[in-house]
Amino acid sequence: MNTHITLHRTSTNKFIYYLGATLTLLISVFGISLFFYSSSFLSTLLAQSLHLHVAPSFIGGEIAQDFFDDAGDDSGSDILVYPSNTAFKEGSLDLVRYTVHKPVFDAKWQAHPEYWQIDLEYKSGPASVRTIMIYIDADGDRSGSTKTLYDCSMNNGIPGAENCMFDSAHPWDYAIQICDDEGKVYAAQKDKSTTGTPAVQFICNTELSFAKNDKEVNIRIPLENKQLQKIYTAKTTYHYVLTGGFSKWDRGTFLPLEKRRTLSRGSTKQADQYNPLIPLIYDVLDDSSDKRFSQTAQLSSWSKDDFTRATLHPVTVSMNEQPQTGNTDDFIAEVKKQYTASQSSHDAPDAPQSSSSGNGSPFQRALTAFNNGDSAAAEQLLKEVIETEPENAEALAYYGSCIAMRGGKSSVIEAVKLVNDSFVYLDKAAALAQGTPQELTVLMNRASVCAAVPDAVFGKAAAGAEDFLKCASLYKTKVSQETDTNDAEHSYTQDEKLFLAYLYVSAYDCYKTAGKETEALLAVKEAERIWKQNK
Amino acid sequence: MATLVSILLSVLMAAVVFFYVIVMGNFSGAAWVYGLFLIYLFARMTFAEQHNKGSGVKYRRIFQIVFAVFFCISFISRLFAERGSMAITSGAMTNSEIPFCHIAIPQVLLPFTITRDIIFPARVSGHYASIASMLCIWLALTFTIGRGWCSWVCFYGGWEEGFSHIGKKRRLNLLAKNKEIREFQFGFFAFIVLASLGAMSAVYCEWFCPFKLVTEFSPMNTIPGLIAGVIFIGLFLSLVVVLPILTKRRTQCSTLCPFGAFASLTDKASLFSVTIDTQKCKGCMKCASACPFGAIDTDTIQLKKGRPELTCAKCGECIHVCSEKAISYSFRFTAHCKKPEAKNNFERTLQLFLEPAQLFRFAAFSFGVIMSDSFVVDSLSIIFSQITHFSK
Repeated sequence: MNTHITLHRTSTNKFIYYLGATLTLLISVFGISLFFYSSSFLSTLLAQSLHLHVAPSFIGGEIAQDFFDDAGDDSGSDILVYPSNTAFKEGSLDLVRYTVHKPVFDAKWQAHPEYWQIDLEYKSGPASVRTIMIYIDADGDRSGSTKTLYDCSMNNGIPGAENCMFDSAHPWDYAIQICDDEGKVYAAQKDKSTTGTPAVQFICNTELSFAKNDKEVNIRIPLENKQLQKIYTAKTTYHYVLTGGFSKWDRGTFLPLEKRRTLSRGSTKQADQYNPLIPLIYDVLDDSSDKRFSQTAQLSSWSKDDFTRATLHPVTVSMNEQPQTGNTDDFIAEVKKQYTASQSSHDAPDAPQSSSSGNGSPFQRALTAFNNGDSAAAEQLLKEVIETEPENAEALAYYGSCIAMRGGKSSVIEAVKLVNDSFVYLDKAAALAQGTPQELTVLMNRASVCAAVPDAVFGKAAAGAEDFLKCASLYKTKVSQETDTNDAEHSYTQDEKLFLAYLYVSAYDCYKTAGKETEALLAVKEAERIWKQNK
Repeated sequence: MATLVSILLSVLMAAVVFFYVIVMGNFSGAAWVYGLFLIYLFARMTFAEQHNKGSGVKYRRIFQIVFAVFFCISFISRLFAERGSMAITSGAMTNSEIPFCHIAIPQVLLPFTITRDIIFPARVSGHYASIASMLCIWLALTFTIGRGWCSWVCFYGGWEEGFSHIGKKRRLNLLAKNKEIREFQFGFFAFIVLASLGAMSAVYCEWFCPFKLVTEFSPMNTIPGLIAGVIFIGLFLSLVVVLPILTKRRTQCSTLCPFGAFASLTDKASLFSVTIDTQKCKGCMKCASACPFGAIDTDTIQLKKGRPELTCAKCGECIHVCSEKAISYSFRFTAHCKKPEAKNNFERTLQLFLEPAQLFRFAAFSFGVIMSDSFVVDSLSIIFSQITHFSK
C-alpha cells in the first residue's frame, strides 16, 4: 500500500514538474517575444481598463470647460485680408480649441504651486505670428472695463489695437496678452482717472509654453498675487478670446490693417473694402449654439454711420461643474455602422473612383477585382499596369494597398517587409498625385493602410489621420466645386455627410491610436458638426 | 545533446533578434551591426555556460554596459531634438511628455490605488515610455524574470555594472554590512512610497534619482531645483561611480533604488529563482563576496537557508565563482515539487531542454534585446552618421 502511494506521488510529482517546466519553456522562449509584439494593444487595454490618467495638478488642473471653435474661420468678420508675410502659415491664426482649467492649489514639480491654466490650440504654427488677447470677466458684475487694453492705457504705453469693445453686461476684470513668446496679465482698475479712461495695472507675467509645433499655447497664470484671487472663488467666468496678427514692427500690437491690404487668401476681397473701424481680429471664440453671437455677427457689428466699434460677447465658462463628456462613442459607432451599411448596399457617394481608364482596361479590371475583394488578382493586374505606366498614381496606390493586404495574410517577418514595401508605392503615388484629381483616391488608399497596420510596429497612425483629414478637405472642395458654393455655405446631402463624417471618425481612430488626444477630439467634433448640419 | 540544445536556443534567439532588431530597424546598417553583435553575444554565453557553468556571466555584463551607454546616447539626443536641452521644460510637463521609467512604478502605485490618479506627468498610452506600456512591461517581468530585470535589462544598472568592474581589487568590503544595507534599502523604499503618497508626487524622481545626470532633470533656476541638482550629482558620483569602483558592487541598486526593493518583494511571483545546494556548499563565502547586490551573507550560508536573500537579482555572479557548483538557477515551483531523476535517455534529453538556467538566460536576454533595440540602433545610427560626416 505504502509503495503504491509513493509511486503515485512520484508520478504526480513528475507530471507536475514537466508540465511546469514546459509552460516555463513556452513563456520564456515564445511568451516574451509575443508579449512585446502585442504590447501596444495590451498597454492600450490596460490604460482603458484601469482608466489611467495623470493627476490634474501636474498638467494644468481639471478641465472646467472645453470649447471647440470652427476650423477655417480665421478671416475675422469675413472681409479681412490675410497677412501676406511669408511667416504666416495657413491656420496659424485659426483658433480651434480653447480649454479653461480649474485653478490648481499645491501643485507639485511646478514653478508656481498655485496657478490657473488656459490652453489654446490653433490649426497650425508658428506662434510668433499671433497676438492673443483674452479678456476675462471674473466676477460677473459690472465692474471692470468694456474698452480694450489699448484704449484703457494709451497713456501708459501698453499696446494693443483690436478695434472693438465689449459687452457692457460683462466688462472685463483681467486681460491676458500673449505675443512674441511673452505673456502678461493686467487688471482693470476702478476708474480713478480724470480723463474718463479706465486705468489698467500690470499684475504679473504668465508662464507660457508651446507644444505640437507651436499649434498649442499653454498659459499658466500664477495665482500668488492677491489681485488675481477672485479666480479662486469664481463660479462662472466670461471670456473674450481674440486672435490677431503679431506686428514685429510695433511689438505687442495687432498687425495694422493697412499692412494687410494686399490680396486675401485667393479670394477677390480687395483693399477698397477697408474701413478704419474694421476689428483687427482674425478669429474670435464664439458661442456656436447662438447664431446672434457668431463670429461674423460680432465682428460686423460696427457702424460707419455713427462710428461705433464692433461689440464682442463672451463665452461663459462654468468653473465648478463637471465637464460634459457627451456620448462620442455612440456617435462614432453610429457613423461606422451607417457607413458599413452604405458600403454593402452601394459605393460611398462620390467616393474615390478611378478617373483614369475605361471599363475594359487592365486598370479597370484590377479595380473591379480589388473592389470584389480579390486582391491577388488585382495585384497581378496592377503590376502589369505599372510596368506600362510607371507614373500612374492610382495604379501605384492600389498596388501598394494590395501588397499591404498580402502582408496581412503573411507570416510576421514577411508582413513587416511587405508593409514597408507597400509604403514605397503609396508614398510615390501620393507624391505623383499631389494637386491632381487622383489625389483623393491615392490618399484614401494610403490612409486606409496606415490605419490598418499596427502602430507599434510601423508608427503610421498619425500619418494616416493626416491623410484622412486631407481626404476630407479634398472631398469638401470637390463637392463645393461641383455645386459652385463655398465650403461654409454648402449643405451636404446625407450620403456626403456620411462619407465626410466617416473620414473624420477614421482620423479620430488613428489619432487615438497614436496617443494624440486633442487632435482626435477635434476630428470627432468636426464629424459631429457635419453630421448635425441641417438636421 | 547539450550542444544541440545550445544551437537550438541560439537559433531561436537569432530569430528574436532578427525580427526585433533587424526587421524593426528597417534592415539598416546599425540594425545589422547590433543584431549580429547580440546573436554573437548570446551564442557565446550559451556555449560558455555549456562548457563551464556560470562562465557566461561576462557576456551579460557586456550586454548591460552596452545597453546603458547607448540608451543614454539615444535618450539624450532625443531630448535635445525635442526640447533643445536635457532640462525638463514646462511645455513637456504640461503636455505629459516626461518619459515614465520603471523606477517611478512603486511610487505611483499606492497613490493610484487610493486616488485613481497617476502622480507623474507622463503620457498615459502610446509606445514610447508611456505609463501604460511601462506598467505592462513591469507586469510581464514580474511574472517571468522577476528581479532579474536589475541585472539583465535595467538600462541604468549598466553604469554601475561598468564602474564596479573598473578596479581589479576591492578597496572597501561591505560584506559584513550586507544585512544593514538590505534593511536600509527596504526602509528607504517604505519612506519613498509613503512620502510619495503624502506629497502626491514621485518623491524619488523629484529629489533622489542619481540617473538624472545621464537622462533629464528639472531646470536648476530655482532654489529647490538647485538643491535637487546638487543631490543628484552627488548621488551619481558617490553611488554610481565611486562606491561601485571601491566596493565592486552595485551600490545604488542595492541601497537606494526603490524599484529594486519593489522587484525583490514581488520576485516570488517570478518563474525563476537561485538556489544553493546546502549539501555541496563548503561555506567558502566566495559567492557572498562576489554578489553585487549583497544578497548572500554569512547568515545565508551558516544557517543553510538554501537560497540567497530577498535582494538576489539573478545575475549569476555567485554561480560563476562557486567552485563546488552548489548554486544554480531553478524553477520557482520546484520549491513545492522536486525535480525528478531522469531514468532514461528521453527524460535526460527532456531535462536538457528544460534546464532552468538556459530558459532563464533566454527569457532575460530576450527582454534585454527587445528593450534595447531601438535605443542602441538609434545611437549607432547617430555615431555612424557622425563618422561619415567627419570622414567627408
